[in-house]
Amino acid sequence: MPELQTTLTELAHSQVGLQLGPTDLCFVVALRARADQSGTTAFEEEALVDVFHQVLNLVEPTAEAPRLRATSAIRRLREQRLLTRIDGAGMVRAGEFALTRLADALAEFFLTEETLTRESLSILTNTLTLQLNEIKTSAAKGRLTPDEWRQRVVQPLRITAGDLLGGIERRQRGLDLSQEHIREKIAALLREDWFAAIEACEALLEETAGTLRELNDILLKDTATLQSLLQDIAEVAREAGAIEANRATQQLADQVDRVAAWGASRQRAWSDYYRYVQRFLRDVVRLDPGRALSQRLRDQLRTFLPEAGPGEQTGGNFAFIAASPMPLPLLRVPDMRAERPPVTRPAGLHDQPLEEVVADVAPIEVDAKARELLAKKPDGLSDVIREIVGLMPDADRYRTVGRITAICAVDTRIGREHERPWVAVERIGERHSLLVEEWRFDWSKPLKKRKERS
Amino acid sequence: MTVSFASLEEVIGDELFPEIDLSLRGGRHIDVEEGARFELLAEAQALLEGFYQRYGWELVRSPAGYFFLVPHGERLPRRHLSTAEMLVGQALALIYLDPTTLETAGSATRSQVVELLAHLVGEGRLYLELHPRRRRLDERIAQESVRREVDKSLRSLAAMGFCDLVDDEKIRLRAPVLRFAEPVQGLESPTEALARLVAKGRAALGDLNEEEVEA
Repeated sequence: MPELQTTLTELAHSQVGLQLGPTDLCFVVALRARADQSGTTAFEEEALVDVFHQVLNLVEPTAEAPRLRATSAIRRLREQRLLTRIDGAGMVRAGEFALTRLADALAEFFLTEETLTRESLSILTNTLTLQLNEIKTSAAKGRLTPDEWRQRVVQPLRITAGDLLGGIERRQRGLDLSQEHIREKIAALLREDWFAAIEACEALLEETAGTLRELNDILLKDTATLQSLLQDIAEVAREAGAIEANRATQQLADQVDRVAAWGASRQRAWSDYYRYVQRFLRDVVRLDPGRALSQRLRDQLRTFLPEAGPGEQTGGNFAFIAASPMPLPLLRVPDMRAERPPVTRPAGLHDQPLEEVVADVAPIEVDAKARELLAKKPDGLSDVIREIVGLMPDADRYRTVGRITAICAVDTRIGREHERPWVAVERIGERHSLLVEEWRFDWSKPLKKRKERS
Repeated sequence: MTVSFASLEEVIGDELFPEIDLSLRGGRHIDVEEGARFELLAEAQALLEGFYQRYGWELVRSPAGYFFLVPHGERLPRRHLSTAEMLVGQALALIYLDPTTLETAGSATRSQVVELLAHLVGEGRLYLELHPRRRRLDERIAQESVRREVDKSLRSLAAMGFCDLVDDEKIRLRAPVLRFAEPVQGLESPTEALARLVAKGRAALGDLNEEEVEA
């Protein structure tokens, strides 16, 4: 893992990346095809340009400045380590180029349909078995030096056996891709022909299912043999203390496990897919040969909500009825806390009881006294007040003066003096006295009847 | 387990029965993908039909091969699927019928459901129908809000066996989803088919935003 981290960090730092347009990719694939046909691995610069022109004529017939574009394409491929110069002559003469391993892998992906078949799997596993047998024999000879362990066991395990297993894995990935294409093909067949495509779909399903079944059977059988051989080699290596050989055996055993697990997992996945498609063909396609159901359902959904005014909700025009789980009645846990009395307040007193109040007769007595004094025809207001006010408590003094004045104003005729003097009627303490404006009573004429004050 | 049952006692005595019974009473549709549960129902169908009939329920096996209970009468609780559930269910059925879904063996995405509904029903209408208390479209929150309501319906439909929720986005469709295509499946007109379903007590007509109908 640390090695991987270092590699990833280096890759990120070096800003490595691939940018290939369709023309560049076609150029790489065409170069690989040319190399296969001519049996050469190197191209002179003119040959590269020639291949590029052929590609351009096919891919972009109207392209301008083909020579210039060829030069640019070659430069791009070199920058991205897809093409390498192998002559080392520099600027002296036209160069000689070869495709790199990266370009080879890219071209291989598009050129060869390398999928796992019964035959290829059998050949690969048989070869691997033979190889492992040889390694086992070499390891069992005994007394191998560390170098001999490396040359006779570790390297054959890593390179020969590893590559053979890698070949199986690569073909497995190829088969994965081919299965994906089959799924797309089945969907496309149904889209185009619907009912008429049933047989073709079933044939594709059966064929793939058969292939997977066969492959899985071979894998199950052969991987058991391979694992047994690897176990033997590991045991010998352990006894000889060959740690590196033991580790290489373990890595290969893991790879074999992975290869075997692929078979089981793909067969299971295809089996699910197989059942799903078979059910679809049976329940949908066969029952609806005219493919009207989709359209009718689409119409049903479109008209499911009746016409409504703006902002109005109508709800759907039908609904399915389904069973609903019955809620279990739960008995309530008794509340053991002490019951608190509710918060209340005494009812308000609506009928107030009558209260006995002693009548205040003082004002009546003042009135009576004043009238009694007036009957004696005094000279003025001060005489009447002086007689009464001394008898009253301090708090009632001013009020009493007011009452007496009011009675005098009503019951007497008051003289019309130009100026009325202020007369003291009672002394209060040392400095103040009660002063009133003196009214002189005119007893010479009878008093006119006045309207009674309300 | 896949032996025929001689008596109802044997069926009820099977260790799978309580789970199946509770699922059916909860409104679940049980299809062939449920393996042993489906097999038990298929084996004991005749015995269980009579058993459930006594409760006022009908054990139905649809032509597409899944089982479910239809409550008749008011003795036991039942429910109407909500408008949102009906809309989402029909959208799922439509996706199920599309051959493109075959490529992924019945996998669909929530976005597909929302897009299909918005396309067929209309975004504004869909928003208002999924939010019965709203009176106008609020564009700021409409998309998120519709997605939330669709998610809610999907959870409910998954509990009823119409689909499986694989993750936050992916759904796996199951054969019972074809029940939503029932009114348009036969040769009769959709109105007649719907009337037949209503007569059989499997569907109800009209404004059915009220979800629960208690027994």
